[in-house]
Order: sequence, then C-alpha cells, then structure tokens
Amino acid sequence: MEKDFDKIGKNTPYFTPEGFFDDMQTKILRTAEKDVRKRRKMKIVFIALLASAAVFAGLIFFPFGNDIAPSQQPQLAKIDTTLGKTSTVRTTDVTTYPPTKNPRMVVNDEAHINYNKKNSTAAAVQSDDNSTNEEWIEQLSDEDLKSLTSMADNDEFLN
Amino acid sequence: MTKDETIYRMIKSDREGGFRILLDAYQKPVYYFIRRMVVVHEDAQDVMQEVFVKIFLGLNKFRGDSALSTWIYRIAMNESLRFLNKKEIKVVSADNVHDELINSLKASDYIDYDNKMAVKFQEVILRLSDKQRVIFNLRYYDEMDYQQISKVTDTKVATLKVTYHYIKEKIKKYMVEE
Repeated sequence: MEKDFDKIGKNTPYFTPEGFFDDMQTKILRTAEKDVRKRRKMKIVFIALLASAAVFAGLIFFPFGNDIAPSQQPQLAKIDTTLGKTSTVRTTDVTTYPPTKNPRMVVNDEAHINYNKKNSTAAAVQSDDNSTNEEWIEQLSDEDLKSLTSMADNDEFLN
Repeated sequence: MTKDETIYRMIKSDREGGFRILLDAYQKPVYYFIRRMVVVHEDAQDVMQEVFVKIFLGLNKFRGDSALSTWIYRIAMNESLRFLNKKEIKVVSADNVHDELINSLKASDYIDYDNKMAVKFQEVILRLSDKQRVIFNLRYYDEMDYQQISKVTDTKVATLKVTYHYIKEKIKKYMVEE
C-alpha cells in the first residue's frame, strides 16, 4: 500500500505475552458481564430511590388532612338546624372521602350526630341562613342575652 | 455478506455469542492500534479492556448506521486519547508525555529490541502529535481508506489527504536526521 516505507514494512517491535489474547477475551467477557450486573443493580436502586422520593414528596405536599376536595367535604354550613334545640344530622347528609374505599370518616348509616346548637356559636356562623340568626335571638331568654352581651364586652374583635 | 454484517446479525440474535465473534475479529488489530498509541503493554491492556467493555455495553445502541469497524476504532481512538490526556495532566505537558512515551519505547517489556529499524521507526512516529499519530496509524498500519478514517476521526477527507502527506514527509525527514 505504501511504498515510502518499504524497507521498514508494517512490522512493529511490539509483542505480547504468550496466551495474552485468550486470557484477555475471558477477562473482558467477565468484566463486561460484571459491569452489566452492576448497571442493572444501580438501575434498580435508582428506581427505588426515585419511587421513595416521589412518596416522600407526596407526603410533604399532599398530606392526608388536605386531600379532601372542597366539593367533597361535609357541608356543615348547609345543615338545617333549629337554633336552641338539639338537632340531629343524618349521616346520609355527610359526604365521606374517598367515597368508597378506606374513607377518612366512617359513619354508620344508622348513627346520628348529635349536635347541640345552643352551646355552639360556631355553628351559627357557619349557617348561611341569616333568618335563623334572628329567630335564634328572638327565642333567647333575658338571661341568655345578658350572658351573651357580657361575653361580647370581653371580645377583643368586637371592641 | 461482509465480516461486519455477519457480526452485526449475530449480535442482534445472540448478543454474547456475537460479542465473542467480534472479539475474535477485532481484539488483535484494536490492541495493536492502542499499543502504537500508548506504547506500554500494560497500559494498552487496560485501555483495550475499557474499549471492549464499552463496546459490549453499547451494542444495544449500535444501529448499524456506520460500519462496525468504524465504530470500534472510534471508541479505541477516544479511549487512547483519553488515556494520553490523563497522562498529560499528570506530567504537566504534551512534550513531556511524548518524551515519556519515547523513553518507554526504549526501556519496556514486550518490545523486540533486535528489530532496530522498527524501534527507530516507532520512535520517529512518537514525535508526531497524538492526532497525527492516529491518522498515520489508521492509514499505514490498519490500511483504512480516507473515507473510513474520516468517519473515525470526524475529519474531512481532503484535510486527511493533506495531513497524511505532510506526516509522511515529516517522518522521512526525522528518519534521515536520526
């Protein structure tokens, strides 16, 4: 092919130990297989780490308490109650989440939630029916009104 | 069907069996290509192992768009140059690396010092830059055509022709000087 270096030819002074290429072939195959196994293990570890990171991130950003969609939350404000009386709310009015599997709030269909409105001003706030407030005030006795007024005197938000 | 095509088909059906055939076909030429670049047998052995492990791991990605030999020599070239670059970092400069390679050639195991002409020729080749040595070795020893060398080295054919001619003249000049 090349005539410029005819005297030298293609010979090089380099040689190898006897049986070098046979040994090398075995060594290369062993190392290659080991490397493949190592890479597979690394892949599994990486996937496992990724999965745990995803679960961890899920727990941080979507904790159990906040995973109820607003539309699926129990509509306490819509519970129709008669003020000053002990009212009962049927569980059929309460939506549980998730609806079927492993609900956060399991209530037996026969059970009733007793809810005494007389001692609960919070319920009155949650009620979206303004007329019930007036009815409730009308039904209050003088003593009740007096005690409520005294509570209002100490209320830092009202004063 | 060419040798490369046979190996490629074999790899597709039986990866390990195909790799064994590939080793049989390319182990020696690749070793000597690396050896001419790094000189010391033990270094060539390490680089060659690295090259073939990379080839084995990359067999799934090889689509056969280029010739198998081109792909193999490209990996061998990259690994050899990487090894020399590492050495260059250790011994500070490229000139020192070339001096070190020449010293290794003068006193190393598995070198036939009785073949004085061949030793001298290698010494002259070692004075070239790494890239020039790659081009010269692929053309002169591995007898690749310029198209193939172009694919291995990512260099234009015209540039390769000029470079090879320049290298030959340089070698002749060095040979006279010695």
